[in-house]
Amino acid sequence: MSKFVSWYVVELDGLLRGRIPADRLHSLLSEVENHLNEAIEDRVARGMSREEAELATLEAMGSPEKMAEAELRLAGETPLRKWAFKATAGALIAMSVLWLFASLLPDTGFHPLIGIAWLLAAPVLIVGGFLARRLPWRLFVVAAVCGVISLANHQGTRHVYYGDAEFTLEAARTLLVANSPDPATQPGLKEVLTQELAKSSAQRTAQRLPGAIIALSLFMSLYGGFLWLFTRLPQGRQVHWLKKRLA
Amino acid sequence: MTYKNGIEALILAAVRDEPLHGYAISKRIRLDSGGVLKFGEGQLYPALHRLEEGGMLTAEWLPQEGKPPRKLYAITEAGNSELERHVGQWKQFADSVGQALTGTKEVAHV
Repeated sequence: MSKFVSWYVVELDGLLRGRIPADRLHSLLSEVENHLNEAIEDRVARGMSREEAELATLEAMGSPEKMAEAELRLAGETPLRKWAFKATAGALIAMSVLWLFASLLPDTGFHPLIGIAWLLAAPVLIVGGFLARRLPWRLFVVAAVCGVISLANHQGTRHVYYGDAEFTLEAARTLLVANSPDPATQPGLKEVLTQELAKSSAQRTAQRLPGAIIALSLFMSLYGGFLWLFTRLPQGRQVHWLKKRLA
Repeated sequence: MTYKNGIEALILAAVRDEPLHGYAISKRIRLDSGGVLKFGEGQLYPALHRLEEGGMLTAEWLPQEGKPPRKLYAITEAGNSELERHVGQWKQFADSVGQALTGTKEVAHV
């Protein structure tokens, strides 16, 4: 393949990859490559030098950007869809960062930041995903990993029970630091608290990890599956469905 | 009055008699118009795909010996009807422009 043809095909690929279905992209690239090669051979046969023929062929074909724009219009990508996709991606990044940040905060249970992140991100994800008709899959994976790490690190409000008394881990820590459990009045309390606090973070992670993974996988699968089905509806029906829901 | 979708009409006309691949379609249009009609060949494929999606053309990959396969486009019944519609529209458009330029149309005086 000539370097000019190769350049054109690579440029077009870069402009369209992930924005139109893979089979359609593959088909278009093959057609364009065939077209360019044949046009060059035709011009060479008519007496042009190879380099002249290659340049004339590229000029006749026009820029890869123009062809990509026309293909994207055909695929239904409008400026609104472009922004919807960016908003979806932005919401995912924000959610992941907030989630990770919240998991680093002191042990205060289910931190409100996580809830706020979900409240802000969920509508943008759902509406943006519908409008964009495609998903930032790579970011979904990053968000899922962030979520799993955060949930695995997150200790929640754990309690230590001693008779009728109930201590949060934080309180247990304070008690131990102050060395206040009196073995005479509260026999065994110090040992219970020490044992609980000594439980390794790895153990806690192991307890929480399966649940976190299942919850996130479920969410990702349901959301991804629903959007996958939705994007297979004809465009007119999608708009009708969305209008009905947003009305 | 305007005339739109020229490239689509030209494509349909090019494949009216036999299925052709993309490059052959662009050559046919150039040759049939005596070299007068030239368009950005980059616009050809999106237009072909639009026609294929609209059911005006069908496409089939044809294997070739020692060469990459080619995608051949053939006109459908719907494509033939669409072409007829384009021809009718074009005639009407060309007649109107011709009359306006030559002043041959009778004007009704009120």
